[in-house]
Amino acid sequence: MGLEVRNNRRQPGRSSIVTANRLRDGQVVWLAPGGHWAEDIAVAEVFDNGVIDEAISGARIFEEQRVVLDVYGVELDPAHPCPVPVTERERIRAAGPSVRPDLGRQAKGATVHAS
Amino acid sequence: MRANATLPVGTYGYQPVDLAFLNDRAAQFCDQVARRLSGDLSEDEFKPLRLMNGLYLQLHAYMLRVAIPYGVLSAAQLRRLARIARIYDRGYGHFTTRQNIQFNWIKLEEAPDILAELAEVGMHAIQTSGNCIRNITSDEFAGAAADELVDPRVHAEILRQWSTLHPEYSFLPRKFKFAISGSPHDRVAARFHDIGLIAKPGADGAVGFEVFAGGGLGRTPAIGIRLREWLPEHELLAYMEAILRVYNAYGRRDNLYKARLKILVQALGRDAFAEKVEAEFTAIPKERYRLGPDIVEAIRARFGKPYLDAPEDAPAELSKRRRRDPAFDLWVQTNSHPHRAAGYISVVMSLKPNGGIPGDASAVQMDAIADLAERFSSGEIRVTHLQNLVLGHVRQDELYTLWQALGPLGLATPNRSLITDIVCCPGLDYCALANARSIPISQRISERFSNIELQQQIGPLRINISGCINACGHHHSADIGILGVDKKGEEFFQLTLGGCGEEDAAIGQILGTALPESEAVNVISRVIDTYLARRVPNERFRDTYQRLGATFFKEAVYAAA
Repeated sequence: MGLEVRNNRRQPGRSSIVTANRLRDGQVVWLAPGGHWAEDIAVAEVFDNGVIDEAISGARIFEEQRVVLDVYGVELDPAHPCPVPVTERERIRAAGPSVRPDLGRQAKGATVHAS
Repeated sequence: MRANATLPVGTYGYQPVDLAFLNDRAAQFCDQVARRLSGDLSEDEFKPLRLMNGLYLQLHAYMLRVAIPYGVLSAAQLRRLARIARIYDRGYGHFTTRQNIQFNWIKLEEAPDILAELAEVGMHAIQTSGNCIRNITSDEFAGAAADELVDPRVHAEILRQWSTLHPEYSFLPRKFKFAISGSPHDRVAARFHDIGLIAKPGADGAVGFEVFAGGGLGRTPAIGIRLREWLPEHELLAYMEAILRVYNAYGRRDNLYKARLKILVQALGRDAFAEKVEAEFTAIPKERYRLGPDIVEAIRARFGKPYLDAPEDAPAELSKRRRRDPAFDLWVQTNSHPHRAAGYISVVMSLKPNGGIPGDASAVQMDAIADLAERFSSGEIRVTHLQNLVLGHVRQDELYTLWQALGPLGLATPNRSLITDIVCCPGLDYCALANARSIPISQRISERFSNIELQQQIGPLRINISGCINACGHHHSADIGILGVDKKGEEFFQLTLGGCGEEDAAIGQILGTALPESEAVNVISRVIDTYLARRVPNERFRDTYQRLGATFFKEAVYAAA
């Protein structure tokens, strides 16, 4: 299954956030309110899936400005009150490697953990 | 231990021109990164340049894959890798199934500094990515093994020099992988490479090669066809040119998934492909590509040789230690390999501790191994395609002292070729392409079978795990292969049985439907139970599987569920 397909699986009525990697260091970042990129998924701006494509398009300006690369949307699990991605892949991106809890955001008390 | 020359033992001794090239290359990349950060280069323009220097963007950061040609490192080079892990990464590296090392937490803006540091010790990240001839792999016991007929490192280096920056082969339809062995026992999975070479002496002592082509793993696993039973040494480069030219001319460029040489060989058929290669070979000016003995000897002369001077009583000393210490005896039994020289032995340092991450080594371990290599093995270390490390030339009377030093470092697990010597790609914990995590299931299996007596009872058995169909964990070539798949965002694992990467190469067959992790580990336990119950004495897993059949194993395993 291609990454494009995997990254764009969305269900109507759910929410998503926008993610990318920072150009200078490759760090995983999340689009936060006010148009800045945060390392902590907890502060990501949440969009309804009906408008997420527009949000992704808008965020691509940061690729042109050489702040980030590979902008795409991440659907959230509605069972959680705070932003938790539906997929294991994105939970690992948000937290760090599940086999190295001493590394990544999880080592700094992240709210998202790989299962 | 002393070496008998100033050249590094086991690796090709770079000359000033080689080192100048590496420095120039690092400087070029420094400029390219600066242009990317300033906006002179777009990501589309920059991506091929960074990939040509082994720099990928993975899940958490950039990943730098450093080349280790034919898997051989000097102690100084390993210390430099440890330094890079410590200064630029998170204190560890991951040794790969192509005998390279990967660093997972690299910053783009620091990558040029890393390449400059690598160049200082004759290292680089060239040919670790992109549609070129990738790092050429070889036997981890090259130049040391008792059963070796030809030292394959010399010809591996010749092929490396021939292929690096070769203008025709920098933009192939897809990546291209070589492996070369000089032993009749295939320890390099030659038949699962685009080109696999088995070097051997002819009747007159001249060197020649058995040539396999069109093998590979990935989404379309294939066993290479034998193109030549005997290729004379002087025709090696001309014949390689012929194969690559046919691939370049006829390989598909319209479909990423059908672009590898194996697909071309299958599409044309063995005979038609061989005819095209032979026609191209006939047309090639032989003198221009002639690999004469003068060239071979000039390359061979740049390899430092170990000083092998074991005392006569070295074997007796080893035997005495083995009798006195059962744990040492067990480790020697599993983790050593016979050496060609009297009084010497090769040893495998397992990077598969119980419940550990296969292939990972910390900076502390790398520094310590470099020290031990200088003390016990002519300052030389080898990386295996099974993700362990080897000291090639250890005096038998010094082996006990070495083993005592390895234990506290977590490098003396006596499990080489046993069920916990698991080959495993980084999987979804690190890799942007992965569908599932491969490391956690390897840890569960390692823990399930951690009892060394049980491992000994099971005997040699290979488990390989890949987190996606690209098969970096070589799952098709294992007794038990595990492939991670994505089912609507959930991780599942598909099992294959009966694969083999050696001279009797075989592709593992799918056992049944994909399973969640816990069920997959239970099914593997039942596969092992079935094997232990039904094998005849000294029968390998693969032979039992072939004798009883896939259906028998499937019914036995699933009926017990």
